[in-house]
Amino acid sequence: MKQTTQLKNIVLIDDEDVTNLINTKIISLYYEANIVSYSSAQVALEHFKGTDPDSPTLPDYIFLDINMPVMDGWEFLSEFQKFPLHKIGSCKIYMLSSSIDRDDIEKTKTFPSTHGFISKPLTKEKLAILE
Amino acid sequence: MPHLSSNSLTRLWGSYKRSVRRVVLPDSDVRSKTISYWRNEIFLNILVFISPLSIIALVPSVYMSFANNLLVVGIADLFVFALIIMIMFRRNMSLNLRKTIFIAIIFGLSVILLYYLPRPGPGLIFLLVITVFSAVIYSPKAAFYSACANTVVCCVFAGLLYLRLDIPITAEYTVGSWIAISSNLVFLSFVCAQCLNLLLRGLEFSLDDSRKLTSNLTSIINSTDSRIYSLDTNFRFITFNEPLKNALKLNWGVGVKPGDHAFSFLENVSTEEFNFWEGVYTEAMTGKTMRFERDFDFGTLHTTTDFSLCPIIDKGSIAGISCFASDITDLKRARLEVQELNEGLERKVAERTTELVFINRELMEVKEEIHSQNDILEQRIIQRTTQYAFMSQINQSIVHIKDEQSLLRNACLIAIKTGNFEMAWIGMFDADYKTLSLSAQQGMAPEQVDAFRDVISKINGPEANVLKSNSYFICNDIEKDFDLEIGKSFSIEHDIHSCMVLPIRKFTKIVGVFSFYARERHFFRPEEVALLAEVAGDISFALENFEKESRHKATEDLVIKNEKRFRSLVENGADAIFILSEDGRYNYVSPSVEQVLGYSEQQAMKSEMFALIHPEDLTKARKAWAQTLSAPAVAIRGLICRMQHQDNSWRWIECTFTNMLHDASLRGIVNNFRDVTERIKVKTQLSNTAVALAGALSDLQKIMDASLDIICSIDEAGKFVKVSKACESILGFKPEDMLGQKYIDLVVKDDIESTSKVAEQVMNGIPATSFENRCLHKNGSVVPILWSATWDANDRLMYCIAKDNTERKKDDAERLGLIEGLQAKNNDLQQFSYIVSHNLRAPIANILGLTSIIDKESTQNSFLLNKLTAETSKLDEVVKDINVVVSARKLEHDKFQNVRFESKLTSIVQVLDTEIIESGASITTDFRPAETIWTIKSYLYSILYNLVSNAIKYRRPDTQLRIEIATTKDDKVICLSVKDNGIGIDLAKNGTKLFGMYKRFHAGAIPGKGIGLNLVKTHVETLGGRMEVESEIDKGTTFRVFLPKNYETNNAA
Repeated sequence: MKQTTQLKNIVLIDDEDVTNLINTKIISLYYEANIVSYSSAQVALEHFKGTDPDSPTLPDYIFLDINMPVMDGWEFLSEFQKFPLHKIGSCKIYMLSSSIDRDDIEKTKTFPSTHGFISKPLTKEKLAILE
Repeated sequence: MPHLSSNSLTRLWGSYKRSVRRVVLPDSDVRSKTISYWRNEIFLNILVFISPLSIIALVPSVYMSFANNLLVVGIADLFVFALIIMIMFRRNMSLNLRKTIFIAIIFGLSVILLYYLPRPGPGLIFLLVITVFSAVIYSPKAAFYSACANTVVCCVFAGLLYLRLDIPITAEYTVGSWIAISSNLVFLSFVCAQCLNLLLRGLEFSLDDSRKLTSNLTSIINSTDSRIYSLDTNFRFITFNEPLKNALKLNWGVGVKPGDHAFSFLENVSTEEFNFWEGVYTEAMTGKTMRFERDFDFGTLHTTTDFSLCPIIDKGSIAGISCFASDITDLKRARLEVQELNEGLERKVAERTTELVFINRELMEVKEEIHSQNDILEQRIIQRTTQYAFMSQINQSIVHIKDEQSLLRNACLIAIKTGNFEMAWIGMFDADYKTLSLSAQQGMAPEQVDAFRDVISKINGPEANVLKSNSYFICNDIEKDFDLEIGKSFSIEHDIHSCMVLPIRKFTKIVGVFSFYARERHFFRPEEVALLAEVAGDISFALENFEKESRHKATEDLVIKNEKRFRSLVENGADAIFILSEDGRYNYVSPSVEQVLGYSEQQAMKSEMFALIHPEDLTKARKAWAQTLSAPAVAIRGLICRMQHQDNSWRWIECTFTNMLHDASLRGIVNNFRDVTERIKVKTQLSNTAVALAGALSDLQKIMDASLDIICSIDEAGKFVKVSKACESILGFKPEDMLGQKYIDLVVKDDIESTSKVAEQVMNGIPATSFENRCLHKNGSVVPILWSATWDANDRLMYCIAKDNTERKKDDAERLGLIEGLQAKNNDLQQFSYIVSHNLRAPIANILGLTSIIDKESTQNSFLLNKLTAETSKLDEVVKDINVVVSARKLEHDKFQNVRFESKLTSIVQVLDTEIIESGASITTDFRPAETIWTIKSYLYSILYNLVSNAIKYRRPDTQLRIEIATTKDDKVICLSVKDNGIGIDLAKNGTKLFGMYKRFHAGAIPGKGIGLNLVKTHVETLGGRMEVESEIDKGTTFRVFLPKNYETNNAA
């Protein structure tokens, strides 16, 4: 089952370290990937920007929590969309939230850069998107 | 002595002098240098010098005397020397005794010398010296005594010579030569005594004078406030007075003594100051007199001193400078004040002058005005005179002219000729006031006269105005006021600017108008109007007289006519007449009886009147009959009774009885009667209708009065015409108080404009429904009123219903409160669902995630289980939080009581003990302004707890945490403030979210669930208060909680 070809780069953004830990572990159960986790959306964004905002280093997948202090998931998305389009194109963002709020799911759709809404916790089925 | 240097010699000499002085003049007063001081000084000096000098004379003379066998002289010399030494060094001897002994020694010595060494005669010289000495060291008198003593000595020796005794002197002198020599001595002695006497006295006087002068001067210069001092050419103080000394002590802190350098006081001043003083002193030393002012600053003391420096000229050269310094601070201040006063005065004078010029100009204007007024007055007087002439002429014609037409014509003529009017005419209305025909005119053009024939009265014309107002009409500027188009063009064409139309009456009824036209604008002033009104009145009076005369004639004609008329009336009228005998039988029956009752004359004559009357009306009829019989010649009216018609129907008949039994021509009772059946019918109907109407009206009134709303009608002027009773309950006024009042007076000032606007719309036919304004209750309170109003164009009344809106307002407020409450509840629910969907879900999701891993990785189970436990306890916490939030909204749980801030804080400090110690926080409080508050204890606790624990949580790690808690209050509110110096909040960014549930603004490290501030806000709002926050990033945050002082009591009320 494990993908052995090219390793995917996955970034987890969640303010709770426990959640990041759990998600890392769950993903590692099913896929072999480079997983980096951030407990702050802002730090993650700065990291992506690197030295040149016009050519950011973006992973293949971003799992983004919504409810975070300082910069929440939505704010992150607004900032993220300022990156050049051709760069964003190859990066898939999934909202990964404990929320079961309808509004959150609806709101996800309003951001063109997102690819979907995943309700926590991650499961094997939900991770099928990585294939 | 070669080894002694001159210096040590001088020192030796000095100590020798001092020791002699100590013995001889132990207590000499150096300061009062009177003549006696100098005598003593001289004496001392003689003593001091005489011993060393006398050694020079002593050694050779002793040697010579022993060589020449003159032992006596030698011994005497030694003896004298010893005595002088004794005088010099012997203590406890008075000065006078020393002097006496000294003089006596020398005297003795000179006598011995004279005896033993008569030639060359040192004795004589000594004697002379004694005289000089006595004069100098004693007194001038003593010189004379000494001269006398010299004379005696000389005489004694002359006697010895004369006796030729064997003594040395006889070998040398003869009596003659002795006398020749000694007389010189005597002479010289006296001359010396005299001269020295004069010299010393003079000296004494001048010394005394200068001493007195000095002491006077000293006291003068010390008694002045000014500082006086003098400097020598080396700028050292020669003298100074007390004030200078004090000033230096006070201002510079130094003492001064003569000889001090003037610049030594300037060591601590600025170079500039030093240079200044060096400059002025140096310049003054060149002989220049200087005068200048200098400001000094001694700390708080600012003084100005006036200096005048003068060179001291001594013997033609400059010996120094004298300085005179006086403090002129006050003077300067006064000078400044005077200057300011002067300036103020000058300014005032300038202002007054302008004002005067202005007033003068105004006066000139007033004067001109008075001049022009005078001109106007003069004109008026002329006009008035004309008017009086006009009036008197009219009156004359009234007296003379006896017919109406000529009177009117004449009146018009007089108006033009005497009254100076441009045009005058009199028109008469017809009976219905439909037309107005010209009766007389003067000054009118022919075509106008033609146009005037039977003019239809204009609705808006001046004539119509006269009719309407029943008074005169004036137009003082036709071009501007006159709204009659024809009149206007005409008047402009003929240069007519004023007109007046007066009513002409006959027996108070207006029958015509008298119109005057004048060229002048504003011709008709009150005085003219009064005169003209009188003229019109006079003419009316004349017309009435004419009318009366003509009526009189007519009456006469009428009497004749009436006889005829009566007959025909009686014969053919609708009325029938019976003439009855006293017992009711007919004497005469008019033919018209047939028309009324259907009986022929003959049939009627056979019957009896009472037999025809309806039995029910008989009593009434008999009563009227009896009344008639008792009152002759009086018409008794009002009997209406039913009488039988020939066709057997009953007819209502109105009878009027007149007792004419006394009249010879009639001899009976006249019954004038007519059929009023129809009338009675109509009347009954009418009265039924009236009753019905009255009923309806009173019902309406009842309805109106029963109405809780004010029902009222308001006329065009805005006055109440009718008001229902409800006004008393709503506005406190009784309906009768309201009638005639303007409704706008009831309206609250701010609402007057909107109310007037709506009223205008209503009067233009747009009914108002539910217009709201506020009116004033009789007791001054404001009542919200809801109006609906319509305008009735026929009645020209506005019908209004005014509803007391207070209750509705209250309802509205209640509804709003309910809505707010519901909204708050809704918000809570939303938040609740938010908590459920996010915060409650998050740990659950994590637990699920963790459990999904547990099976797969058995080695890590304990680690995962720990995480699991942590997540579960988080879940527990969230559930607890929800419980707290939900329960926080129930007010009933707690009771209001007086709570001390201090005690709450103490318990919080105990709970937060660990955190406070860990963070090293210092908490300062000031609850003095408000120590207690009437509130719910647990809420206040929660508020304080959350704010303090927040302050600790969000501290800056690099700074010592300071928390300041204080209270303040005004008459309504107590404010509790918690201020920290923590990391602060970016209010611009997060301000709106600050108090939201589960909102956090600080990442990672700081523990927090984001519930504290939300809870605080909920509590504060539950207590009826509000919160404010003030914060700056990295500076700190201040939360202010404003709580009402007595929320519960207010709420209960």
